[in-house]
Formats: sequence, structure tokens, C-alpha cells
Amino acid sequence: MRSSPLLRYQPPRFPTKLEVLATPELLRCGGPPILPPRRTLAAALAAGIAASPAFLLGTGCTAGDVLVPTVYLSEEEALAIILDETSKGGLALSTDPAALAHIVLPFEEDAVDLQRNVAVEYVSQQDCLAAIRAAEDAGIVADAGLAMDATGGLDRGTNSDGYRCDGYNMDEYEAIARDQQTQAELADPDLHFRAITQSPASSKQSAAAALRSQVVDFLDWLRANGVI
Amino acid sequence: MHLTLNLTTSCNMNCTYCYAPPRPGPAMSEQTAFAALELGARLNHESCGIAFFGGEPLLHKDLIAAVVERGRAMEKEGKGHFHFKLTTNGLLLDDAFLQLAQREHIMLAMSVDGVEQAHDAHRRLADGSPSFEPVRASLARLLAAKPYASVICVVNPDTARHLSESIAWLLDAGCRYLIVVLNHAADWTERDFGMLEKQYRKLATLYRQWTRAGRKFYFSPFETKISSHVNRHCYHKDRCELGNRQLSVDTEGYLYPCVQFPRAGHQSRWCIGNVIDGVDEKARQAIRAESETEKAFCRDCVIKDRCNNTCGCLNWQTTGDINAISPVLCRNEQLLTTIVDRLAEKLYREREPHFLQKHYSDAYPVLSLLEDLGYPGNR
Repeated sequence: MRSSPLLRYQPPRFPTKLEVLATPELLRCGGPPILPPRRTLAAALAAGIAASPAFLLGTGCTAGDVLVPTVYLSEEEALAIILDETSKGGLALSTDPAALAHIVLPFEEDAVDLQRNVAVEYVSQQDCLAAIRAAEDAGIVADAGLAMDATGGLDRGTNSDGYRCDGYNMDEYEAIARDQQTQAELADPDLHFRAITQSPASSKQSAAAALRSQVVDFLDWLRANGVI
Repeated sequence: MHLTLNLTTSCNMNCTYCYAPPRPGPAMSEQTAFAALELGARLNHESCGIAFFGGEPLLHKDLIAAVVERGRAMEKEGKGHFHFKLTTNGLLLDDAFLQLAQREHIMLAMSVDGVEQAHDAHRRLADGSPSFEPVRASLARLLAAKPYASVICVVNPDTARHLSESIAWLLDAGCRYLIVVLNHAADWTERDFGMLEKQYRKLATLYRQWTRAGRKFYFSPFETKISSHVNRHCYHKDRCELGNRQLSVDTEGYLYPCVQFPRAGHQSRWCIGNVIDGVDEKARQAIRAESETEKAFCRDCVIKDRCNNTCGCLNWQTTGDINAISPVLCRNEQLLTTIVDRLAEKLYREREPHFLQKHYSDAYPVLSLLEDLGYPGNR
């Protein structure tokens, strides 16, 4: 068998992640945003789970940074930031339990704008622990590498070394962890390390700033999709 | 840095394509294995991965249990942090070991080459008899206990025609993490590659159907090829780098840059230390630098940055030179890239939600797992 190098090849016509981060419209689903599975509209995963807070922007439509330093913001602190930024961006999120009852998110949903069909949740340390307990109750936690890693991270009072889905081989697991690199991390490779070594107060500031940045990205994405 | 412990050179199977056919010899001693743990803790201050490998590692379950127990004890003493993985042919998987794996969160990978005709073509028991039936029973036990376990499926020239059928069968059997590996060392012909191309195309069609149906699965190499474009900015970090992310430890405790090299022996230039004295950094760096040399053959190739040509271990196995690319690898990489890119283009054009989630959402693994755990339904 013989082979020769490929000398000409049309660039693939699907975007890279960096292109999507720069231009969230690239993932626009056409028409109104498709409701994600289980009516999850938007989720902010934060430092409670490994190192990866993220906005999940509708089914298949995602963008935004996924970095929060290794300090946990409380539900209240996080919600205050989210409400502050979203109100500036034109969302009218409500924390009224009656409004929240219309939405089901993976954890405890935090705020909802029923008019625009947008909900937000912040996954806190408490949410994580609740998930782990439920998984234990269901007898499947042994396979929930994520949950156990999160437990380890929380127990040690440090950040876990990344979420791990059982079944990935070592390299793939590490690749997933690396996939979580964000624009912020790419621009500043020491950001995460500094977050770990900073004093708690300044780390908390970093976490707050990162979350604020995520909310802004989220708003950009909503604009790109014609929601606001 | 992670460590792969070759616990034994013995095996209860005799697969025709094994790059390290079973041979008699003493298994790794507990003392050597414990020394490897100490080394792992020194090399990796976060969580050191310890992969049990062989031969067939489950021939030495007691040693595995002892290593895991020792690792956990070291963790309690603040002397390291470990996670464990094991690759097995599955024949010796029993309830007791599966319980250990569940309790200690040992990630399991099992070798199954697909449907009976594909599997039995090469994966034979030590006496030469077929292994499909006992392996199928083990696979069911494995997935019942560890639903996220991965399955490694090796494709040979004579089994390529079963590839799409095999993957569909494994998925239907409950496997969600499927890793297909070509036997690059086999004698592939143009005709074999014609069949392989046909099968990849069938798989691309199935992948699209499965994705559109919302089925969750991880199918390498399709996922990795998509990732090589989507994550182009950091993909180079995911590629194989000899002696950079993991070291292989032979039964005597000698260190090598990857799993192929222990068979070269500790007097070869591939031996880069031992578990007692540690890594010979000069030797390791020399091998690493050599493996990072630009591959002359690939210099003008436009997909060289998305290719598996950096796998020095595979290159060495197929050509005897860590920098020489085998034609089989080159052709396979080109074939995969072109077919998988067209598949991804279609799914992107459709804005297929599950495809976009899988490849563009950093939160996907977490949210997917939460969904599997029953959220929000169990709240």
C-alpha cells in the first residue's frame, strides 16, 4: 500500500469553537431558539462542579466562557450578579416561586423571564451535593465519576481536577478537561493558577467577575438569537 | 504524568494481532507496584492516573486490589491522589471485581471486536477456541455494573466488512463509549481499504441517524476527528506525545515512553528509568524531542495538524521508527478526515441540536450525566 500527503483540501464548513465564541450567531438554530431537552432554557453551571461553570444556551446553542476561579459563590451572591447584569441587558428575570414553577432545570432554577422564555440557574456547591446524594440514593453514584470527583473536590476544599465521565480513557478524559479552556484562559494561561493562589477575597472577586462576564456573553447570545 | 502498569506478560487469550503476544514470566511484584505508586505521586501532584495493563491484568486481581488499597491509604496520608483504570479482555470479570471497580471508581475498558464473525476472527482463547460467547456474557455484566465503561474494537483487514454492523451491535448492547482502532500493523491492501471506506461511510450515515434520534454515544475516531477541527486551537495538546503524558512500567519496574516499548527490553534505548530511581529525564527529553521532529513525509500535507501522525508508539510499531509514518496510518487518517468532515458539515448545516451540544458545549458532559442521573425527573 502507498500513500501520499494531502496537498489540497477544502476547509471544513463547520465552525471551530473559537469562531463560535467570537460569533455566537454561527450556532443560531434558525427561527426561535429550540427548547432544549426537559425544557432547560439556560443554565449557568458554576464552580460547584469541577472547574466548569458554563451557560448552556438552549439545545445545541451554546457559547460563553466556562471559567470561574476555585471559589464558590453562594447562591445569593451569584444570583445578585446574574440579576444585575441581565436587567442591564433587557431581561426581566423573576425569582417569584410562582413563575419558577413553570420551568424545570437540572438543579434548582433561580430566575425566569416568562415573557421571553428564558430561565437561569446557578449551580452552587449545595446543588452539587444534592445531586450527589440523589445519585447515591439511586445506587448509581459509583459510575458517576463526575459526582464523585465533585465530592472529592468539595471535601478537599479545593477545586476538583475536572469532571470525569467514567469510560473515557485517560487521554480522552484529559482532552475533555482541556476542552474546557476558555477565551479568558487562552488569553491568560495563569489565570486559573492565580485564582487558586489568591486570597479568598480576591478569588471571590475573580469568580464574580467571571460570572459577570458569562452573563454578558449569555445576553449577547440571546441577542444573536433574537430573544432580546 | 500518568503510569501504565504492565502487571504481567501472560494472557488467557491469544489474539492473532496482539503486539505483545503472551509469554511466560513473573508478574509485577507488590513491591514494584507500590514503588510505582510512590513514583506516580512524585510525578503528578494532582491526580495520577494508574492504568492496569498487561497481558491480561485480571490474572492478578489481588495485586490490583492491593495497589488500589495502597493508593487510597497514601491519599489519606496526604501523599498523593490517584485515579485508576483497567483494560481487560473481560473473561475474568466477576462480581467481586466489579464491586471493587464500583467502590474504587476504577474506569474499565473492555476489548470486544464486534459481532461474532469479527470478534472470533482474531480474538481467540489460549487454546485457540473462539471467545465471543464468554466475552458477550462479560460485556453484559460489565455494562450492568459500569454503564459508562468503554469498549475497544480493533479492526483488521478481514473484519473491516463487519465494522458498521459491529458498532451498531455494540451500541444496541448498551455500550456508549466506543473506541475503534485500526490494526495498523496488519497487511492492508487497496481492496481492504475500499471496504473500510464503505464501512466508514455507512457509519457516517448511522452516526447521523443516531445523533438525530438523540442517542448518546462517544464514538472514536469520529469524535476525535470532529474535535480536531472544532478545537483546532488546542487540538495539538490532545495528540499523542511520546513520554509526555504517560509512562509505561514493565513487570520489573522499568519505565518506557509508551505501551509498545516494554517489549524492547530495559537494555534498549527506550528504557527511561525505573520506579525506584525515577525517570531518566535526559533520556525522556531526548525521546520526546526526537518524536517532536517534523515528519518529513508530512511536511506539505494540509491536514497534518489534524492527523495522528504524532503517535510515536504507533509509528514505531508499524515502521520501526518513531518518526516514520506508515502508509496505512496516512491513508486511514485521510479517509477518516474527509468522511467525518462531510458528516459534521451535514449535522452543522442542520444545526442538529445534539451534535452542537456534543461538540460545542463545554457543559455537555456534565449536563448529559445529570440527565442520566435522572435530573430533573428525580427531583
